[in-house]
Order: sequence, then C-alpha cells, then structure tokens
Amino acid sequence: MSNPIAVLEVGTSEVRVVVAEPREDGLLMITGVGRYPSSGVRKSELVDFENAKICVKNALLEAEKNAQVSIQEVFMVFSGDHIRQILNRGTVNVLSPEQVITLDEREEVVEAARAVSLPHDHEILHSITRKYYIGNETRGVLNPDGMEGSRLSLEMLILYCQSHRLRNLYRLAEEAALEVTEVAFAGLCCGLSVLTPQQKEVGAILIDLGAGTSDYVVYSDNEISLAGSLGVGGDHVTNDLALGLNLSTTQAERLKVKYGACMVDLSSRGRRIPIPPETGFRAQDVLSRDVNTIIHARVEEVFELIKEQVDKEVRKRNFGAGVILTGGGAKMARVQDLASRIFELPCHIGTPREISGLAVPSESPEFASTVGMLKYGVRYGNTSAREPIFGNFIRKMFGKP
Amino acid sequence: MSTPLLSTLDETVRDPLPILFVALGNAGGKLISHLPKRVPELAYVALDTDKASLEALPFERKILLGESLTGGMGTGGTVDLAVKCLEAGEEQLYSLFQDYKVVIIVAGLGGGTGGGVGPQLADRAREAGLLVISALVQPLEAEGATRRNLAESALGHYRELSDAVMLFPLDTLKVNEDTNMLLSRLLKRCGMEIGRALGGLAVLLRSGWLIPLTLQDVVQTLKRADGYCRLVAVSADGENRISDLLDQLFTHPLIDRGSLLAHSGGVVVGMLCGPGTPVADLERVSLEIRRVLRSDADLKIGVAQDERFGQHLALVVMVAEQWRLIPVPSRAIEAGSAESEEDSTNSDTKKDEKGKMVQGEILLASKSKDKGRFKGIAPTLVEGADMDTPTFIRKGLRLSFHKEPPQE
Repeated sequence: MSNPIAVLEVGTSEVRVVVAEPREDGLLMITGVGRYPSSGVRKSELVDFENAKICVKNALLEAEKNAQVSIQEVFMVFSGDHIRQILNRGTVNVLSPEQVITLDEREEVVEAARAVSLPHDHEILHSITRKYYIGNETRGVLNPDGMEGSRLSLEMLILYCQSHRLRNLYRLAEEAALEVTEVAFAGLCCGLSVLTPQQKEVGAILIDLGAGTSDYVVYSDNEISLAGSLGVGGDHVTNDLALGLNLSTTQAERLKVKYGACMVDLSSRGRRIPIPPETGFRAQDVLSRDVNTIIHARVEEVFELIKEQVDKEVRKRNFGAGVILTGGGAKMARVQDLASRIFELPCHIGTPREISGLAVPSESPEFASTVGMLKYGVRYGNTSAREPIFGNFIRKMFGKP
Repeated sequence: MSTPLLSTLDETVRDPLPILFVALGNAGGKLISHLPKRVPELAYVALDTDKASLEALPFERKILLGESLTGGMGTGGTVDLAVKCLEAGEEQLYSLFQDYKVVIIVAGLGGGTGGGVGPQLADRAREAGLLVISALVQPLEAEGATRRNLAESALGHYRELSDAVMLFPLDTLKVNEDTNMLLSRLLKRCGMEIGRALGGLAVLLRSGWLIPLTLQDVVQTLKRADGYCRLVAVSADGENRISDLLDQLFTHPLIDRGSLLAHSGGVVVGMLCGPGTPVADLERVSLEIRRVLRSDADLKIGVAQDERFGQHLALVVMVAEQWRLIPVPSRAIEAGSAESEEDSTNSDTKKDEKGKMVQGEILLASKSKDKGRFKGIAPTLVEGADMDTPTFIRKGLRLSFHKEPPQE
C-alpha cells in the first residue's frame, strides 16, 4: 500500500480526522478515524479559535492512535456561506499560422477565464473548466487540443471565498502542528465521494446537509452548473426546536435525532414525547406534531432556497439521477420525502463509494465530504503548487465525469 | 364504523347545481361506476373509442367516438388518433353540454382516450361556457415509463385546458398495504376511494348548505392551488364517531397519511350530518382540523344536514397541493409586539380575549426575536430575512404546545 493520507474536517458539530491508504485495486482503505465534538464553530466558521484548536488536537490524537501513524500533513474540507460562484468566459486568439490549438493556447485561455474581479478580501478557491468554444461555435468541446480555429474561448465556473476565513483554517491546522496540503469545498468533495460518473452524466442535485451549512452542487448537461453553500444547517433545526419548545440545545438535539421527522404525520398527531430533565431544564413532554412542524418548516425552507437557485442559475434542467442527500441531515426521518416533494424528483441518500476498512465512514452520509477529499488526496496528493494544480484537479475530478 | 358515504345525499342537497360527469375511456368508466347511484341531479355520460369497453359500462348514456376511424377498437394509446375521434363526434358533444353548468371529466392519464381526448374535451366544454374540472388518475409506477410519460404529457394539457385538475395518484393508495395484496383488490379499492371522493366533489359543488359552502369557495381554492388538489371523503358513526372520522381523515392515503393536509395552503371541508348532531361535535371536528393545519392555511368549512344521516357524520375534504403565494400572516410576531408592551403574565388571557389563536397554542411572542445559539454571531441573511430566526416563527406557524407548569 502507498503512504497514508489524512483529511481534517472542522465541522460545526464534529471535528473529524480520517486516515486512509490507497489499495492496489484502487479502493481506499480507511485505517483510522478520529472524532471529537466540535466547539468554537458556528455555521462552518470559526468563532472561538482556542476551543476549535483543542477539538482538532483531540480528533487528531484519536485518528493517529487508531491508524497507528503520525500525521503531519492533511487535506482539509472547507465550507461556509461566504463561498460564492461566478461564471466567467475568457477568450484568446490563436496566433499560429495553422491556427491549430495547442497547450499554450489552452493555458492562456485558462488564465483569461480566471481573470475575474473579486471583492476585497476574497480569493479564488476553485476554478472549474466547463467547456471550450472554438471560433463562433455555440456548441462547446471538452478538449480543443489539435483542433483548428481563430479564437478559443473557455467557460469557467469560479468558486471564491473570503480570504481571512481560509487563512484562519490554515492557521488552525498549523497550531496543531499540521501542514495543509490542499483545501477543497465540501460540496465538491461530496460529489466526488458519492456520485457515480453515470449520475453526473444524466444530471443530479447533490445537497450536503451539514450541521452548520447546506452545501449544494448541481451537475447538469455533463458539467457542474451550480455550486454554493447556504448558511443554514442541522444546527438551525436544533435551535428552532430548543426555542420553540423551551428545551436545552442538548435536549433539542436528542429529540431531533431520536424522534424528529421532516414531514408531519397526522396519524401520530396526539403522540407525546417525553423529554428527560437536564440541568436548568425540567422534564416535560412535547407533541410529536409540534416537533415535526418545526423541523419541516426549516428543512422545507432550505430545499426551497436551493431550488430557487437551481431554477435561476441552471439552464438545462436534466436531473436524471434526481436529488442526492449527504451529511448528517440526510439521516433525518422522511427527509427524502420532503426533498422529493420540493424538487419534484426522486431522492436518495448518498453514502461514500469505493472505500473499505473501518465501517463508519462507508455507511454514513455525513462522511461523504471527508471521503471525497481523501479520494482527491490519494490521486492528486503531494503537490505544493496549490492553485494551478488544483484547477486541473478540479476539472478532472469534479467537472467531468 | 364506516357508512356508505353519500348514498343518501339526495335529500341533503336542496338546490342542485347541474353537474355532468363524463366518464372518459376505460379507466374513467370504471371509476364513475363507483359513484353513488342515488343522486338524481347528477348526470353521467360515458365516452370511449373502444366499443367493447363502452358496452360493458352500466350507463344509460354512452357515446362511441370515432367508430369510422378505429372500427370501435380503441386508439391503442395513440393520442393523435384519439383527438381525431373527438373531432369526428364534436357536434354530439356540444349538445351534451347544453343543460349543465359544471362538467367533471373523469379519466385515466395513461391511455389514448383519457390522455388524448380529455384535454380537447375540456377545451370544448369551456368554450361552451361550463366550468371544467378534470379528475385524473395517475397510472401506477409499475405500469412503466412509456405510460408514465404519456400521463405526464396529458396532465400538462389538462392543466392548460381545464379550470381545475384534481389528481389521484394510484400509487398512494397502495402505501402501507399488505405486500400480498392482489392487483384486482388494489384496483377495486382505488375505484372505491376515488369514486367516494368524486361523489364528495359533487357534494362540495352543490349549494344547500346549512353553513354555506359556495361553488365559488370550491372554485377559488381549486384555482389558487393551480389545480393541484387532492380530495378525500370519510364517514363514521357510533359513540367514537368523531375520533374514528378524524383518524380516517388524518391517515388517509390519498392525502399522504395526513402530511398533505398538515402542510397545505388551502383546504375546503364539507361536513355532512344528521339534524340530531350537537353543535359541540361539529365544533370539535372543526377544532381538530384547524389544529393540524398551518396557521396561514385558507380554510373554508361548510355544514349540510339531513335527517337520513342520523348519527352518521361524513367529511368531504379538498386539500390544495400547491398554493399561490399570499402575504405571510404574522400572528405570532404581532402577538409578540403586543406582549412586549404588556404584562407577559397575562398574555394567555389576553390572547384568548383577542381570539387570535385557538386554545392550547404556545405563544411564540417572547421568542420572536430570540436567535438562541446564533445570538451574537453574524446573521445568515437571505433576501432580507434573518435565517437564524426560527423558520416557524418567521412564517407564523402555530404550535399546539402543552407547557408544563413552571419549575418551583
């Protein structure tokens, strides 16, 4: 087996470190998992650096112990509703006398397409090649090398983020004596982890329902059409329950996980759920219907907001593979029914593919982003030049099935 | 205990609205045959392109379409041929519509006659000045992609050319059923449920209510739902009739075991009862239904009485699947501002006095601006809305929250 690769995800509910080794058959063997309840993170963003640092160290220790390795380098998963997208098109003239497109023109047009004006304190996270256009053609090609044309254009999807948030993530890793090899947007990682090439080809809406954010990536017409993050997640559901039913956050979280559902089922309308006491909160019981009404309202809103984006931004709405849900939120009861109803598409839960070893990550939709980043790490690790290689990687790994 | 709903409605309806039921194609004919036979004001006619299928139906009025084109053999699912069949018999149809104000087209969506003739028929009926409601049966998933695609396409045409469409997905009726259920039993059950629901639709559309439910109430709901409506009819008697009735309603497969009702923006409820029914019973039914609805749901309730009902109680409920946007009511937030200005210890009394909420609701006022664990961090704003504030508060949703007495 090759050298192990580690991924660090500083999530809102949990900090995770997963270690894997690539096997000869191409599958990933998970050799170690470290998990520690998150503190100091809200909506996927650091709000208490010191607390988050302690969580990272604890998760790291556990993973190292499990995998029996010493981790010095990590790939990191990144999210937050500050991540935005721009669709940009760059064009260059083909100057050679034969007007044959070569690698030079391709590199030039990539630079041209990446030349976007970003707001202050923002930087490009990913630049994803979509299609090349030759001359005045309206139909794009995947690889223009060797073709003839007077001009070459490239349509590129650029994901950008707030620089200081990204830098803080790097600093957090450094404080735990880790070197960050690469960072990738969680939504893209999920796509890499759970979607098959066929699903990407026929179109799919992937939603990663995390605790802090709901990340989404839309594959349509054989390319990524939309990617983004909504700063609303499972934490909001818990918070809504706590506020609506006068519960502690812990009580509300337990209630959500154990009894909550995304649809109101009137057959259990009178059912009362006992809530055990906690410090500062007495025992009580709540109506199942109230619990589900609160959950439904929040999750429905998340889906509707994402659907609005899809309707607005995606031109060709062929989603043969339907909606695929990942993240901890995908484990909520009847979330598929609700997604199916809002998007008017079939809906499935996505779990990481092509991995073996420790059972938890392969069975859990919440490990989709971590495993996706591992896959990236295995295939394209050991690089120091972040931007250009990453751009190529993203094109190969995420952009094209 | 169930009763044969609507079998005694002839006396209930005092000012009948002329309604014509058109049973279209094989599926439409079979469904209409499950309608109550003893409602004299309702008229039925069966239309089909398949002679054998038409002859098997128990109707007095039957029209075979396009015999010269198909030889009475049906269209074999060919929509274009079905449309030609309709055009060939067009004159007959106009005379058919003359005495009616409402036409209810009942059809299956997966066939040529139901899928092809139906939308054109709806168009002709509207031209003739009738209100057109299409009650359509969606084929089973198991019937395959070709039939499903045909159904989707036909549904689009129906929506365009009818005043309203009511959809009956057959798959919903087999949910939670025994896996050994026979197809014949499933189809029979579908027929019975849908037949009852269509009988209910006829009742909803007719006047003569003790507490009125007008044609406009029904039509407006259908229109605001863009025709995406489900319809159920349930009935019960005996000591526990109210509980039985509500249990049947809240677990009915045609409204996704109550989920659709709980999330619907518009609901029309027709209550049918005997003269001996206490007002308290009607109030309880109404209260229980209101309790499960969204607080901003547009609810219309009517009550019709007939002595033949005795102790029986029946409900006909039309539930909108979609709802055109309306301004969001902000009851909870309004109540919140009121409470912030007044003594919160008296809030329950004041709430009752104002009559803004039903008994047993939680007052969300004190929470309306509370963001809990998101307090003090940068808000998530989407189109001006602060997403950290609970959605149910921003939407003004109602909870029937039973609060224990405070500690100490």
